[in-house]
Amino acid sequence: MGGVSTDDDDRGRFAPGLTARGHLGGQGRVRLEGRFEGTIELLGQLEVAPGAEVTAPIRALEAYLGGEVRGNVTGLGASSRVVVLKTGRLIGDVRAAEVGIDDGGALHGSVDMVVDIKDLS
Amino acid sequence: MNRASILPSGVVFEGTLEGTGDLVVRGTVVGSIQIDGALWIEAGGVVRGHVQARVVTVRGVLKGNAFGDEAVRVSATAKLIGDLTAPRVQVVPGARFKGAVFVESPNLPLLDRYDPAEHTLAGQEAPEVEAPIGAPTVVGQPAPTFALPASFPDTLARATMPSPPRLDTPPGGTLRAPPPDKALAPLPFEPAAHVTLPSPPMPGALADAESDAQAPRLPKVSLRMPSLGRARGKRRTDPR
Repeated sequence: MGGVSTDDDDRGRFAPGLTARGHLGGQGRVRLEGRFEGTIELLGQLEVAPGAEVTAPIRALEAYLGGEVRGNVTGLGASSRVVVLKTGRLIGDVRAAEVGIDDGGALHGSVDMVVDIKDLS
Repeated sequence: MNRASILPSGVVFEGTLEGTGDLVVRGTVVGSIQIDGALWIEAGGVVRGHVQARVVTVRGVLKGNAFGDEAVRVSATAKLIGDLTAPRVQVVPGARFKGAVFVESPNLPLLDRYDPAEHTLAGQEAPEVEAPIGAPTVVGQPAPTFALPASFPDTLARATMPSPPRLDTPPGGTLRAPPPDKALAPLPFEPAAHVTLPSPPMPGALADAESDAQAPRLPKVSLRMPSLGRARGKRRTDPR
């Protein structure tokens, strides 16, 4: 699944039964498996697991979307990456240095692979 | 897939977290947490808000109230400002904790007061409390009386039974106090010194008391304190 399913102990995880409403920030690796409503700005890797429902604008260094995401996804940094996995479904715009869509993944929105000028400086 | 949710260190979540399953907080949560599983606030983890879980374990920082459906545990590394409410509450010595503790459960009555008449076994009356041995006698009851046999030795009787003070008046009728330097000397054994003085005779019964040779003479004394310059002077007591 995109090679991101490492099982580090330091990786965050929002279990399927958990519903989170608010803002997720900071730096680290987080895997969302439940429901999330709010905003996400993570200096790290965000993974939306299959079955997860996320309604939030997402800003992250890397985002791997395997669930259902409603909101614009923006990659942070020159090496940012946003990948819609084969089980993923994204309704929103994507803006990142690298954008990938796996076979079977759904994307409803525009794609912009232009890196921000400020991120290059 | 029933692993616990984990908020890793470095990650901040502001909002509400609720749902099923366990949750481990190693990062920072600003908001409320309400889950039906266990909640661990690990060392390094910070939660600012009220938390409710089946079992709340605090090893990090919690600034808010903690409600445990089963228990709340506060370890020695915890820093906690808030109230703890659970059927079982454990606070390990070493924890920094400021707040109140309410050990209660919806199934049990709140023990906010203690009344022996109420908190007894069902169908039983409150036991009567018996005064322990040596306890003072109940007010209103007569004091126990002691009667010594006539054949009891007189010396032992005086040593054990209190007797009224017997002040021997000198023939001149003047009672002299001991010198000041001997005033603080240990007094010889005198049983009369340990009993309460009987009330002085009333003026009407004074004549009878004077005539009765067996009655103790209780001279009414008045002390005149010597001045500092006359500390060596003898204190005089005027007989009645």
